[in-house]
Amino acid sequence: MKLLVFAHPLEAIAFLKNEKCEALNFLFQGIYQFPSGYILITGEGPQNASETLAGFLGAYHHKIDEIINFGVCGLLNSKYSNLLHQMVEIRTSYLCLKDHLEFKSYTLVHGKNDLPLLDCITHSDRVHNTELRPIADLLDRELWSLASVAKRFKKPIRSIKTVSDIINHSSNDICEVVKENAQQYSEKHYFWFNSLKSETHTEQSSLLPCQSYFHFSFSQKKLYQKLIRSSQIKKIPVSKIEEIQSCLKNKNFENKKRRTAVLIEELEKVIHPFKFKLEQDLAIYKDHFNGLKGNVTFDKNLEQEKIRLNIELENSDDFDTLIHKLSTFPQKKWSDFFKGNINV
Amino acid sequence: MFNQVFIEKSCLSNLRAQNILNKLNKKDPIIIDDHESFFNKVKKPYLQKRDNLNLFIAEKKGRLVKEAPDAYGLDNGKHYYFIHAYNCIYECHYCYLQGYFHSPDIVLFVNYEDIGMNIKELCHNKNETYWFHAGEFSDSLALSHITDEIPYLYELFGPLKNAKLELRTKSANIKAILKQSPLENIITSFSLSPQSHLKQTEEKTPSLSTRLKAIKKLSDHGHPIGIHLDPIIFTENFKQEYEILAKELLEHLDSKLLQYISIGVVRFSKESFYQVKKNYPQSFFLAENMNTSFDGKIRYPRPMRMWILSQVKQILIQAGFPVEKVYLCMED
Ligand code: SF4
Repeated sequence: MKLLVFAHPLEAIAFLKNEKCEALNFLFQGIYQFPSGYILITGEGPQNASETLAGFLGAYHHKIDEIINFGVCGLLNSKYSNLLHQMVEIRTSYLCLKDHLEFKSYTLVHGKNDLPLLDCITHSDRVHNTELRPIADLLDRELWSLASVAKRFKKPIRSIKTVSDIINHSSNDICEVVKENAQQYSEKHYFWFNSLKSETHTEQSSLLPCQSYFHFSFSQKKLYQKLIRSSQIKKIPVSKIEEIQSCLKNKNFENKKRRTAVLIEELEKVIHPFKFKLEQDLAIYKDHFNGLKGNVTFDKNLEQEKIRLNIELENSDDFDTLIHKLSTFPQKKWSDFFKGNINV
Repeated sequence: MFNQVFIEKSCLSNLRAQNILNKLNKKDPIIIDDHESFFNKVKKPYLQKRDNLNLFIAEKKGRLVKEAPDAYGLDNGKHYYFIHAYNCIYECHYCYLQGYFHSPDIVLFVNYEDIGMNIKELCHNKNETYWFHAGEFSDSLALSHITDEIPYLYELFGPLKNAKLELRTKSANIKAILKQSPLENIITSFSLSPQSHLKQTEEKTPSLSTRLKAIKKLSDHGHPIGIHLDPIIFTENFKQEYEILAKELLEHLDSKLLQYISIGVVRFSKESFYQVKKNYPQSFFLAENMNTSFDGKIRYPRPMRMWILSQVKQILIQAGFPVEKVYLCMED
């Protein structure tokens, strides 16, 4: 469901009239429910915006897929004066608290529509000068707070604004102008909202193979998805991946887990042949220590030549074996391996 | 090219600044006190360089010339870089600037004389060789037709016999250099990769053939040339691609004018790598495994990158490049 956020009731008027809205019984006023979502009236300014949105999402976050903010903004850059009374979509939101520029910015989601895409700076006060023009072309009072709360709740947010005025030193009576035009702006916004085609977000196919043949642990699943992403970047045909999967389905394995491990190994071979070659070489060095009780590990990032032996020595035979293994270890070859002497 | 142009009040009477404004045909720039009040003050998304790139014309304060990192140099001389600009008009997916500044906006510093004075002061020991690199935070030549700094640099380095200047670029913007008589101590260096790699990892940069033509022109005029085969990115057929590149390069370059050819494998700082993943999730160097390496940078595993370096070195030597001119870059 969508959550539509407005600063003032007048800005929401077309929505409240045209949708079957019912006031929601909540801790504070200004929340309405309609068949495909909710409307939240925050009140003016960044603090009201963050308090009310956070309060609402705290209770209803599980019902909300997307937040859309509708409102008005002032124009800082007269270069865009042709946009007066026009709708724009916001690209990035910045904040100025009193005289302090907040470093953090939020890049909003935006759709494939024809609205001009501009940046907006939220100010804690009503301002009448264009000093912030190097940062953004538009000025509002709430958006940054909404975006920061949306981010905290991991909700996508977009913002549609109408440019209500061009900021200059004489724009004191702006509230009157906004009030006068509020209904008209609201209708435009409602019209836009109605024509909003739900953009289909096609999930990238993860190609996770049939669970009746494979069983993925959490880390295997992550690894598998990483491999598939790499295969897509490398443009390895999907049919190749599917071929590997179906080939393994027809083979006998002791259990699904084993089949999954082999699948990952086979995919590595095809998607990262170089890495696979390195792993094969490492396996040979590891095999050199076969016969000892314990395990042998290498630097996990393959940056250092060091080898870690965790060996149990129970008797003199074990000592002899270890001494033999160490004295016959191909140290020079091992060192050359790290210098890139690899037979690829 | 620029959405808005801002100029520091103190630069208004600077002739170079005026020249830049004229060339950009910007009659009414926005006047600000200090670029630092805005540039880098807020996080401006990197990809806004595509459609919302601003320019700041400013004076560089503080240290203008800085000691270069160890692995920067090709020989044992002292290496410095000087700061003539921040950011770049090109968009290389691997560019470390995307994790370095908090804004893609371009800052051009116009107080060259201060930089020149610093450089002269540093070159006090006549028995020592001092290297200066332009372009640590920007491409050295991409905007040189607007900034007009090339004549100034030739004038500065002409008499500085114990100093060398490297102008490192991915551009083919060599007009200003062609107007100068070659100087032994000013080296124009080009970063090159096979065309298929350029196509997938760089945007707005000139093609390989355009860069090779620029190299040929400079070489025909007797200008010393440096080459950087950097960053090398592993692909299944990278060997064949570098063989072709080496051959083409030799066809465009008088090898007597070649000062060095350095080779380096793709690497990222942690912050850049994060930005790369965010900005270019489909970039093909993200298809290979990379790990944190000896200096904290993200690289291919050491055996792999050493193998890549040795292969490219071999290719260059076999193609006929003198072994003593081939350097391995940014490795321990
Ligand atoms: S040319 Fe250099 S500075 Fe410019 S984007 Fe590419 S890597 Fe970055």
